[in-house]
Amino acid sequence: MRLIFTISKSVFKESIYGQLFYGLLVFLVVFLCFCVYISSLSLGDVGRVIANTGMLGITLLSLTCTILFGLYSLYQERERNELYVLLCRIPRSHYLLGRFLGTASIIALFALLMGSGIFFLTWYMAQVPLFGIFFQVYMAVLEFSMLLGIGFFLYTLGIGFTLNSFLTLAIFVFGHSFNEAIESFIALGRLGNPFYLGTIKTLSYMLPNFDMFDFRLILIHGENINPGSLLLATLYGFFYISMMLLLSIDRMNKSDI
Amino acid sequence: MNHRPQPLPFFSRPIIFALCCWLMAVSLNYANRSIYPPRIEEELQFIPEETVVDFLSLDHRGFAADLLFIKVLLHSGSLTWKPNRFQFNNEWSYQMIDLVTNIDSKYYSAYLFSGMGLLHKHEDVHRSIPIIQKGMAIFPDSWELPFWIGLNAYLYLEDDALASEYLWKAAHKPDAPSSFLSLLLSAITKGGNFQQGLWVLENMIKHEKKPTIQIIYKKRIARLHNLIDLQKAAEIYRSHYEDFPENLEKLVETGIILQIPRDPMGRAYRWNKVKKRVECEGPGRERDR
Repeated sequence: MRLIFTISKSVFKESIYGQLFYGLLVFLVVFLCFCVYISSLSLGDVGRVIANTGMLGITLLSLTCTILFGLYSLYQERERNELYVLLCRIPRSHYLLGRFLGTASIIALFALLMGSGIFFLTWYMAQVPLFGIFFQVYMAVLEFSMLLGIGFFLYTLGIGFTLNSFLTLAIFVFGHSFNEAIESFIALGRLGNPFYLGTIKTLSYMLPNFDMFDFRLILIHGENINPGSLLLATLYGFFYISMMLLLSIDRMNKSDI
Repeated sequence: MNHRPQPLPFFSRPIIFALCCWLMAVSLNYANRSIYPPRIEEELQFIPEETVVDFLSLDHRGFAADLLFIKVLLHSGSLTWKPNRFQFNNEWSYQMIDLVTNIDSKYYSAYLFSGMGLLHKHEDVHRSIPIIQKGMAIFPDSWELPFWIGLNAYLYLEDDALASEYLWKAAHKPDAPSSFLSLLLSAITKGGNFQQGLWVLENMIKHEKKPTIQIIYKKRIARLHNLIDLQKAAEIYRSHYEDFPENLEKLVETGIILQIPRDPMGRAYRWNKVKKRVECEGPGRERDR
């Protein structure tokens, strides 16, 4: 266990000393300025517009972290032949888990920074302390850790970086569209072939469903979050991440690197 | 000794070239602006499909609704400084607001704006009503939403019945201010709902502290009682003669009432043949005659 934390700590440190980290920090500041600018165009709903735009910022930053910090550095390590040296000394499972935890903590750091920025902006500009934003930060960390797990699994399948990034992005888009797809297919299922509706429903159960982590409108409207939904989303994220990591470890142990 | 000039550290050759290139770019940008000055162009206006917006927003529906709403706000607001050839596109604007409120059904400002700032023409009131009604179903305790339907019906449509219906609803909502009760009273009495008018006046007296104004309200209550009695007498007349009277004097002639009551504020009562109800003559009634 200590070894896993050591690896994750080194991944975290390596990330925050890189130029990419500072680049993303600049992006974060620019995005917060954009939030303020766009809120000035609203009709008195400054807090609402800042929060909505800021939550988009959390998604963009977390997605960038997942692909660049999570996947790109993983492939770079292999290209620089550092992986072979590392895997001679540490078990493959420990390496993968360490990298996962390190990248997840970077995602959490950026999501938290953005969330704090939104919190202070809404407080300062709209006099609304939006504590719920930290809940959405937690949901974003869960969601993008899940996506990272999927990216890791695709890596262990031997897929190249570019294709892996596109597939991860595609899974992210599909994972956010299942509710809309089911809604569209309900009519088709009633009027047309119920087989299509059944297929899309089955796919939505099997593939990652990121709609479960969407509490944005509830947060914006200041409504109470159902503890049942929160527990369900947390458990779902935990089990899906565990499944992806276990599959990745299995693949990595069996494959010839 | 041979002194060779040392190059300045901040002005090395590539930096000087870069500076020159930047100055060239600035000059070209200036020339472009001078040759092709910016023009105000017609906006691109289309209504995206709700499912497409839902899909593309990737669960950021609030942000998508904000962007679309801001687009409508800018279209409506920019007409104040744009040349006259740019006209308000009410069909597009109201369809967009409908879309915004479908994407985020609890976007209160959007509902409110459709009945307030988005009204540019009288016909827009008809477009705003279904949107505000949608909002009323979601915010049943809001007094503002029915108030704006009522106010618009009163001001622009001159539909006193519709105005009194919605202002009445607004007045019965929690936290409804008493400041619009006089408007409600005006709409209600013009609409012929004298019983409701009594309720409004009693509430107005409750909120009024000045005794002189309370006396005026009491006189108006007495007037409403007179109008209620005369309307009842007209109904009796109809039950006897199968039609409403030509004028109020007929009620006295047929013995249904002894005399036409005197108005406490000195105005006359008359029978409106078109609306088939008694009313008080006064300023502002010309359009009903």
